[in-house]
Amino acid sequence: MTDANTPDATPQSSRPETAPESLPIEEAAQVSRDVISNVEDVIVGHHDEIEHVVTAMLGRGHVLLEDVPGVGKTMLARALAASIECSFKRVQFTPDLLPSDITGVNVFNQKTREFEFQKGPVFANVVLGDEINRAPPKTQSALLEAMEEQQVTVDGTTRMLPQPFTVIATQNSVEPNRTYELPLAEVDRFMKKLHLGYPDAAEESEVVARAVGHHPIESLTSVTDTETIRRARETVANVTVKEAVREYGTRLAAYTRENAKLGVSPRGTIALMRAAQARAVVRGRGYVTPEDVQTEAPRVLSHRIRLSASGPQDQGEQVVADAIETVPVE
Amino acid sequence: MSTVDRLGARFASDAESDSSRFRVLALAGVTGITATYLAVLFELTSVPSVGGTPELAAVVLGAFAGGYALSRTVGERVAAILTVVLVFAGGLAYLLATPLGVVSLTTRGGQILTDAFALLTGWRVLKLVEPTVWILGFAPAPVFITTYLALRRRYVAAVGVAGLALAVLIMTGDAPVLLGRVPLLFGAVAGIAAVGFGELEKRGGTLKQVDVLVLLFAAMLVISSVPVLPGSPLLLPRAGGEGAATVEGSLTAETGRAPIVGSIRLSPEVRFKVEADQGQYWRVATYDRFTGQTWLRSGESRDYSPSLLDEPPGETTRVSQTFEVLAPAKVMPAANQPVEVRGDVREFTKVTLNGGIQSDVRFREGDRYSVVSAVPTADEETLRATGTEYPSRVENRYTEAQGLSETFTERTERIVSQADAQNPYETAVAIEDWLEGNREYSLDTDRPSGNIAEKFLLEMEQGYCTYYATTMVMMLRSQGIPARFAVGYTPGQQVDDNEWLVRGSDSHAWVEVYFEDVGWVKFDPTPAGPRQEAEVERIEDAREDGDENVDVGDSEQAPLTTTTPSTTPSPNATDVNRSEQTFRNPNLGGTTAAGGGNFTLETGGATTNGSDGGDEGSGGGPIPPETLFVAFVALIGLAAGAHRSGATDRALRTAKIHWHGGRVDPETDVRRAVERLELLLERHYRPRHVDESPPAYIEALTRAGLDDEVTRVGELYEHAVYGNGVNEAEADEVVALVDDTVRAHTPLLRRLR
Repeated sequence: MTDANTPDATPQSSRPETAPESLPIEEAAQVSRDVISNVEDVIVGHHDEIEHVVTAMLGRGHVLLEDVPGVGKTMLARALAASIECSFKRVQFTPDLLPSDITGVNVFNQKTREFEFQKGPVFANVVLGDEINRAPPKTQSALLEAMEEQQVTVDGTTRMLPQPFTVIATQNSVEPNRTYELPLAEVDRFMKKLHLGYPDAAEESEVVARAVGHHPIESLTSVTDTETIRRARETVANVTVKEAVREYGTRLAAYTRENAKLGVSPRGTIALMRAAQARAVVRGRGYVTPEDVQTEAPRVLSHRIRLSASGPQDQGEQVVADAIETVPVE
Repeated sequence: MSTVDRLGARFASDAESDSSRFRVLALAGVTGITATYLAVLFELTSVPSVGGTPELAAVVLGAFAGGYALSRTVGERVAAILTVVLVFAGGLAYLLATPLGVVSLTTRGGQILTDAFALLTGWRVLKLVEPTVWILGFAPAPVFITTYLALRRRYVAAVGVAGLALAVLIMTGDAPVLLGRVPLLFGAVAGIAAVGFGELEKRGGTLKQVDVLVLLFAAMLVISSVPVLPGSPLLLPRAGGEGAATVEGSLTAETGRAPIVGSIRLSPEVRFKVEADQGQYWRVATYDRFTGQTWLRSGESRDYSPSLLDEPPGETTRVSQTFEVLAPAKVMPAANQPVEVRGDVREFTKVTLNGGIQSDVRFREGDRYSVVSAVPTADEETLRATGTEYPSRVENRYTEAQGLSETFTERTERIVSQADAQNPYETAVAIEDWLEGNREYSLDTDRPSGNIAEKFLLEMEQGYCTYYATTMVMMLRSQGIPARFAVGYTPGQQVDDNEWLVRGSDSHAWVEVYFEDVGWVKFDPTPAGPRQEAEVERIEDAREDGDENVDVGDSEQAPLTTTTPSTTPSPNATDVNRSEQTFRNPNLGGTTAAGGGNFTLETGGATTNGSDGGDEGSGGGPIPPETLFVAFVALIGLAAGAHRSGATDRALRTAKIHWHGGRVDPETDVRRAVERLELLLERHYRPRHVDESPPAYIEALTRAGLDDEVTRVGELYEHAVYGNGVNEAEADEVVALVDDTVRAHTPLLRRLR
């Protein structure tokens, strides 16, 4: 590292200094619907999951997809990127992957005799981290830091990531002995954890029918752009969350804390409210209702709950279901 | 730990805290019922002639400590054996203390059983010969076993034992008389509380189930306040509660017991006609034990046998009397000292331990019986010469004077020494003279609380025969002279050479003093003049009023009517409705001259002139506090019942549905309107699920047939509560819509739409 690099320490901002003007609710809802239906041209079935991915993106969140290989995780991410007309990068996580393979690295340019920053794959609007649990924790954390901070720091230089920035990470749930399970603190950074699951017979037949010729992803056209998405995000951020709903969310979180070894953190409650805001926009509303919260809660809260310190992870769903059933709506 | 485990643990700890609360309440209940019967025993020991309060306290504390200590160390069988031992030890101690001794165990087992039975049928503990020993023997066993059982959580058994102890004291009549109804009820309620809370503790009940107990308590209190059937042990007469009773009724109505009452009146009706060689005080009964409020006769009466009637040790003269009963009565007067009863009436005659006679049956009009009495005739000199070597039997029984204050004794001593009395006779005369001269005779006397003898000597200024005689007996006893309280009739009106007519107004109380080698001698501390005036006045009034049964034969020229006489010797509030006037009104004698006329007319006059005396029995006054209390308890009971059945909830809900209340702000109004709507829909469809928001609930119900326009309510609720708020117009719209819906679902109002 040299002194010459010091001026670069100021953020290279690709994010506007002032927040973009928010879209009207109806337009934002229309955009999200367009994106969803566009992605559905490629992905058969999974309507709810597509909606969840879109709302996560609008709610400034990231998604963890956990599933067996070959059910369309990557395709979902690609389709989403293609629909928005934005940059898309994919990182295949392997045990020998290094943090710099993700964030990028300073390379000495012989011509200019200067170090140049070679951007890593994380500099994209949609990043697909494939089989994230195959890389060692150090590498994982490089991506997770980027997710949380919306920026990357290499050799003391901090660089802003493009906006919107959405990570869709996949986790392979088979072959558990060859993986590094994500620590809970890092799982907590994903807004949602989704399962795609296998399509049913009719859906699978449809998938096969579409894919045998040219894959539909190749002809997928964008329906919106990053600027619109940024404005839609602003719309989501402005959605009203009244006290009644806020309290409902905190009561749900409190319930999980009382009834599990490890409950939902305040970060989880914030994520829940953001997801509910996005859900309200998708449904064309300027305010959050308890139904929005209920729709988002299972996907947003379950993966943050541990019933025991060492037990299997996927037990949070029942606790969240109990919470929704037990905590009274006002 | 799984979710279920955690929840389970939480509920368990809730139940635990409830359960320890219930344990405290159950123990308090057991303490309550125990305290109730102990209160009776302590009341008994505080009676002047009984005593033994410190000893009882020691015994009770000992029994409690024993129960407490053994509850952790000793098994139930051992405890039961210990209890039985305690019971027998107590019984044995009592038998040893009585004159009969242990011998009676073998020779008079039957008699003991009879005594036990008598005790349980209203024979007061105070009438036992040795009440202190009995109380000290009785107390420890139940206290011990109740403590033991309660601490071992055997509440039902503990309450059973304590209840049994209380029941014994109720049956003897001591508990109702000494405590009154309310403390007894408290004991019963405490017992039920102990059982109820004990059960709740054992079965892990929750506080919500307490309303059943409340219901039970209220039912008990209300039911028990309904007039009890006659003969119930709870309905013993309260001393002093009779209002203006007759002297006669207060003295002679109840055998074995002579309560001292307040204001009193005289009945002018004829009772007996006596043929005798000479006029005597016709004695009905004598009493040996004074409780401070009431005279009692201890010991049980026995069937008549001439050998039971001892002749006085000194010189006597035989007086043969024949009584003709003129009004039904259960008394058997005879001059002191009856030695022989003649004729078939013997079969119904009983002899008391005091040497008096009683009748088993109620005599009817026209019944006759003959008695021979040996009247002591010792002259003044003989009496002056008597010593103080009394037979122990007499001294033990008739000098009981515990509990009298120093002041009382000192005052008596001063009176005696002022008169320079040197021997028992002079002492008696001194006291008699002093009372006659220093206390005013009046039938209009408020009964004081506390020891009546003390009050009459030290505080009161007036009284009538009962007060005089009681006080004199106690004064004599304080000087160590055996004396007893006697009631009966004065000789009455002499209508012929050897014939006396005895009226109700002749009833009287006097004193009998025992002199060595002489026997029982009558003293009458009541001033004779005022008393006779009152009596004569009463009869003359009655004659002028034309009352029935005032005269017999040639005692007056008025003919004896043939109408059914309605005379009863016992005091009765309805007497007031007849023309018997009370002596409360001092002008009564003066006003009667204006009366005259016949019976019916005078009834009106009587009620206007002198009705104050008998008003207690009528129901015209303000509602007594007891009634208010019962009504209050009944209300609480109803409330608990309603709570149990959910009626209050329903009523409250209906009220809530129909009444919106004042407007606050749009959001609150919308919330309240939707709450009302929800309460309504809950009845007609289903309750809102916990995880359902009100709009979602309404939406779901429209699919089940709810009017579509109601969805607008849900929409506006959403705006108000989750969204950016509503304005007043929208709030009004919601309220109007809900009102409409409520009306549409109300059976009658629906038609008005």
